[in-house]
Amino acid sequence: MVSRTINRDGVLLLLLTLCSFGLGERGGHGLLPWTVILGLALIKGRWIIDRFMALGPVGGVFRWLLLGWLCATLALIAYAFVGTLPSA
Amino acid sequence: MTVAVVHAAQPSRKAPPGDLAMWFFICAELLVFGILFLAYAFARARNVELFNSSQASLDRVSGLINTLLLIAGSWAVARAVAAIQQGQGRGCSRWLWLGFLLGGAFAVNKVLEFGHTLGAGITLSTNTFYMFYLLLTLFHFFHVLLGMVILAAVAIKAGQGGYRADEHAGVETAASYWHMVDLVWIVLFPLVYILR
Repeated sequence: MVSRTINRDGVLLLLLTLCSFGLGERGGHGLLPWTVILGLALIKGRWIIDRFMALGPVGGVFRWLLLGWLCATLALIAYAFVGTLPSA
Repeated sequence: MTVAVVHAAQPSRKAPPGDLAMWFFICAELLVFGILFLAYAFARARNVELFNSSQASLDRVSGLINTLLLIAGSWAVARAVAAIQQGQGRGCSRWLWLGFLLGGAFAVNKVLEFGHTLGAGITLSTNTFYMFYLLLTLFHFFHVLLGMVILAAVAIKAGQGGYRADEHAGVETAASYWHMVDLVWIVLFPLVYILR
């Protein structure tokens, strides 16, 4: 049962990666594509942290440190990119 | 009664998997990568045209393949941890070697990409984009190599029966490091290869 869950998580991560790549190939420029691509990275990162690193069931300071790092990094990247839009 | 037995068989864990020192190391590594990612993003904001035109020369399919290889490697290593938790030392070793091979495929693909880049006369001093591109991907590449060494060492020990279902901190420690390498790439790939 655990193996089946890991297999499912792996397949979902691969599919999300293909979605992210496909979106980038279709342009990848602008607020909406950036939000979706960085959002997919957030979902994938959280999945890695909670499922593969197995910090989800444990909780604690290291889970929050890693999730905090992921959220802060992606949010600041988004901020830097949005600042380059012509209307900004 | 049944509920009590189930709870007794699955005690809730307080500590993260593996060696605590590895988690401090992982946090330090993530901090360094985080600073580099933000330096890239804000340097790009000051020179969007240069970054976009230089980024267009990258092989995005190669980046995609490497992402798929690293995720598959993380999946294999997660299966290795699940195997040793069930007391399957040999199975654990096989999954770790699969993770090692997928990491090796990533390394070979990356060497080809670096060869193509350097062959085109691009170096760290070509421009700011390539400086960040080479710095970030080379730094990550060395982490993959270190991860492969760790996976190989743990796979050999697991194959020799060095871990048990109730004592496998070494496998969890190696897995945590390998997943960190994957986590970093999950941010690096869209940042450097996709977003423009």
